[in-house]
Amino acid sequence: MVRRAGTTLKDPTMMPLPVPPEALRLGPLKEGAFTSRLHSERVASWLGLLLGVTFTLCMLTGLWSHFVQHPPSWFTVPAHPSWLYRVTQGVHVTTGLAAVPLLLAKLFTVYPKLFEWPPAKNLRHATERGVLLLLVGGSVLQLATGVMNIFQWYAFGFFFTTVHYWSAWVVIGALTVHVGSKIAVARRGLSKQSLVDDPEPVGGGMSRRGFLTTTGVASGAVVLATVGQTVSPLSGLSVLAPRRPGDGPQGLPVNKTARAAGTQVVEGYQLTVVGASGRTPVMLTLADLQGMPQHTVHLPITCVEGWSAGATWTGVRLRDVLALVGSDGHRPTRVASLQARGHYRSSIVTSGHSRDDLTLLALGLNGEQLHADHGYPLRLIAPNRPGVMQTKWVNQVEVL
Amino acid sequence: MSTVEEPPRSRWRWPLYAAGSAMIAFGLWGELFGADTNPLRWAELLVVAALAHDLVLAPVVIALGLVTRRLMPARFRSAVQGAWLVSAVLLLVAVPGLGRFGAKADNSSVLPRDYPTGLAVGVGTVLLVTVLMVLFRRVRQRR
Repeated sequence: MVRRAGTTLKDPTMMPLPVPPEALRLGPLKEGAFTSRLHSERVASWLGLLLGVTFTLCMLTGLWSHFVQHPPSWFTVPAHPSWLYRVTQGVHVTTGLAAVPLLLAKLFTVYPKLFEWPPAKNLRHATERGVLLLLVGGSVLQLATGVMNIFQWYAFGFFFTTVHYWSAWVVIGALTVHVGSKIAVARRGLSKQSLVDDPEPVGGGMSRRGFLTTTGVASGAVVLATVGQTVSPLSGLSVLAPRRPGDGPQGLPVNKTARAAGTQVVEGYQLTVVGASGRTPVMLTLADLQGMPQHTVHLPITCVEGWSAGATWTGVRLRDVLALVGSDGHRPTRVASLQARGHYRSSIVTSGHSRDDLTLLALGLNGEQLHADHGYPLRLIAPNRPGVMQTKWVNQVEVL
Repeated sequence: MSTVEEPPRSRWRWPLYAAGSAMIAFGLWGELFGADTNPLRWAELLVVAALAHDLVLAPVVIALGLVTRRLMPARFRSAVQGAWLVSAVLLLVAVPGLGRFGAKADNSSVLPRDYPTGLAVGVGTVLLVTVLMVLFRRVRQRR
């Protein structure tokens, strides 16, 4: 599909568009307005490659998180390895943070391109630039709102999860188109030959290599300053992290408190277990639950916002509760909360999890009765699952 | 940018254009018709994000670079620019913590750290490393 010069004349997308009057070519639009040697194809290519890898990892782990929370009918999330979601979500947030300096450096390197003259050579060029608006605006928006979100600063005026998800498709799509336009340029920029064809001009100030190294250092610094919220041994170094793994009631961070959920007062508590249709629901008091076989597991809470912390939980197996209404756990189960409203007041547990030994309806945490903020009197805790699906203040289990 | 001629385009171009356009269309469809979205606000912020970078952040960074070039002797210039770059990125990421915008009165486990001190430690480390690098370079050059 390589087009020769002769055929491009017939291509309407390559027909030259009118050039604006030269008198408008002012300031940064002038030839040679940008003098830094860092505005180079080689630097842009290297940063593009690094960003491509980071964005791809971030997209894949994000998609995984999306599928775990909204599984398509043909997909059952496995319960093991129990640490999987902890790792993938940690990678998601870490790559997003690491991409901040990479993106800024890349945009700086290609900044003169914003003032290209003429602004649109032909329709193809104009389309490519339109896609660049989606890519640049979308990338800055994804990273900015992503960082705001992990600090629980919800000032952007939309529901983060869904907008972030759809927006990610736009950005990755625009990135794919951009790679399509630039793959040949990038290949040239990454080649050894580019050092010969486009040697670095001499002068003071930062060299190209120095700039790439510094950007890498900035990326590493941002990661180190935050990653301790999920890699607890590094917590001491992570001076800017939004969370500290041991910090919270009973040594565990909290996302939604009992006060925020409106579940502070629990009187006359009963757990309702609803089986398949036709069966009488079973009601269990706290004493009934305490009288059942108790199990202790060590499982992390892994927040979608990128922090995680391990804890020891004690309670009854979900499997044992389901058996009381004759269910073997093959059917999906809804676990619902006393919490009256909210996106996350219930969650679905599928067979991989509900039949697993580690999936508990927990009554205790780290050797004590559950704190109200951790879901007293009863909460779900299961392996390889995001925190928003570890329903707290559980008062109903329903076989679907 | 320094290289003028564009090389011949790759044969991967069209498959990548097709895949990319499909993903963009899927994402836009979701923003427009999906549950719990806000297409107008999203589009508005996307444009604001591009403008905020292109018309505010980038010019400020370039202006600071020019000031550094004017004020700093050549031998310190790259070190100062490097320290600038890393510190500015740390500052940017620290903004939500410094402002404590997401802090919750009933939940001390959100934003539990002292972020001004954290940023000071981060930037202090950057400056210390920069000074050590400059000294190391000078000692080596004198030998």
